[in-house]
Amino acid sequence: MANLFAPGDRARVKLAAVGLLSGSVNPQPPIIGVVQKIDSPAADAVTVLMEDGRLLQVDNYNLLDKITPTLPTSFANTLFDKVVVGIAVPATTTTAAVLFSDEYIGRVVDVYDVGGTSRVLVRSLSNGMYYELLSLTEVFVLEDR
Amino acid sequence: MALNDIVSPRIPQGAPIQPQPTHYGIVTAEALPAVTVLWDTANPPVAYAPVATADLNLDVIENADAVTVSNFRGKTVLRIAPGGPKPGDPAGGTSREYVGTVAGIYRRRALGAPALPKGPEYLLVKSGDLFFEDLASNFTVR
Repeated sequence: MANLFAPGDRARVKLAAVGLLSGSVNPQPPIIGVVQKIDSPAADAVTVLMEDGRLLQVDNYNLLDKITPTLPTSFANTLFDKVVVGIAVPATTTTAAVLFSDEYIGRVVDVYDVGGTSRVLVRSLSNGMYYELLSLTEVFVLEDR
Repeated sequence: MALNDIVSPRIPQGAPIQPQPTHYGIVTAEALPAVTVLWDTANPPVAYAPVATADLNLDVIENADAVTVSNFRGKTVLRIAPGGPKPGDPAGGTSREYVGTVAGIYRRRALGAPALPKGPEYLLVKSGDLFFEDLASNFTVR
């Protein structure tokens, strides 16, 4: 099977598994790097340049999440520089959406896809906690802030 | 099975506060009691080779029940004082300065232990600059 990564791709340590759903844990802070090279002769190996200059080499690319741009980019761009909060229960025709509590209101740090699903990384204004919303439909934009 | 499991160092029972967040990692190689873990800090994987699996002091992180996730995700929580809830105060007198947001909801099971029964459910909570992790049943939604 071909290596999932190519030089220039963004990557992070995978923290979801067969027994653990995405979003169960949120690293504080999240750390994302950029793939520097695909190592040969072991074609499954990947070397990642982390943001602080460290190199991380793993023997198997399946240990990493591939971070790709959310498409369409134009929609993702509407979330940058916005203050948002999570939606716990979506609105229906008869009820308003139930939002996360006010302590989760935060700034959008990044918008990306992991495994074909869009994610929004938020840092709360109240205590600096990073958390990831697991789809664009979980994002409530607070206007006029 | 431990390969590709998500693990975390065992938290000391009864320790009220962690000056740093809980860290998590993915098992990259295993032949218990030896394991190698790639941590979320993205440093090179670390190999551990204790005499016995129990000496690893690592827990496997697994899904909490959906109802627990629904009860706590996106909520502001307060830990219930050791004396338990009191009339008019479900937190039993815990100072409101300890109120926090939920950074993680999961079960912990000792690495190498049978898959059943499931391990207990925990919350990792951030309050100001501090973190604390405790049984989900020890928290109330504020």
